[in-house]
Amino acid sequence: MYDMGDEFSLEIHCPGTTRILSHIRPFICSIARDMGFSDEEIAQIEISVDEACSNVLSHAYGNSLPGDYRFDFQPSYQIRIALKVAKDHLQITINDFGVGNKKGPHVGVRNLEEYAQKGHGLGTYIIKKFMDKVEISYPEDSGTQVSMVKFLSR
Amino acid sequence: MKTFDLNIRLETREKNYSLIEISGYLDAHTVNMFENRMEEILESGEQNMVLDLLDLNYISSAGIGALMSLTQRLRKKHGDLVLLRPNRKVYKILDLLGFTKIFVVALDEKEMEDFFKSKKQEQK
Repeated sequence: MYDMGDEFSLEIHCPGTTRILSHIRPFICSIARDMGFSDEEIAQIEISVDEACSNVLSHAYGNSLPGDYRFDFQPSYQIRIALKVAKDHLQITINDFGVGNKKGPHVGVRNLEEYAQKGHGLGTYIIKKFMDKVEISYPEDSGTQVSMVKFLSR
Repeated sequence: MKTFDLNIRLETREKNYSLIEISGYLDAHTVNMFENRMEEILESGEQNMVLDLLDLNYISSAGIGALMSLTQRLRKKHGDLVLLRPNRKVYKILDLLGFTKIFVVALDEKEMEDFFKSKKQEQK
């Protein structure tokens, strides 16, 4: 476990393909575990990061519909994951370098009944439910950006 | 790169349901493969399906969405989908999100058999 005074940032650039998700998840989990998050909180962070990456990928390089992950991978497709480890929280920012979703904000469903009717929006719902702070933005130079924070409960 | 992300094995059709073992992880990368395989089984006329999730290590919204769609299609045919033996982590995620109230989850084979027995009696 890190010392309470330890704070650091790191940034990784990954190929913009869903294949990379199974590598990102254990990496994020190991950081969260070292910070002292509980198993339940680690599972929440893991799925939130997965959803954010999937969301960014599908909007940047997919068929423009939320949750539509079908696209032909190109070497230029990339996503960036920036982590800020602080003594009381973990901040994760994910963005792509693609076109992003310029059509409007990501709107998650409000509850499972709404999800059952619409059939999409669950990823954003999960992120908002499990993370303490979530911000989705569309910087001019980097497509979609999802920034989220989880505070240590101890 | 070799990948063994998701393995799907149709175990039996001897009873009134198909038992399918799912291992690996069900996420945005593997969901299309999963849906295609389930489609083949559905097309064979199956009404009830049991997914043995003992060795499924992870599920994302893409996987949950695929299970939801499968459940809705089977229920339209008066059948059902049973999620058998989900591991602790997968169960926790489904439970925290409220999906254990939507899906039929059986923690062991007896619970699964009991579900189908009571369903059969209801249909009589």
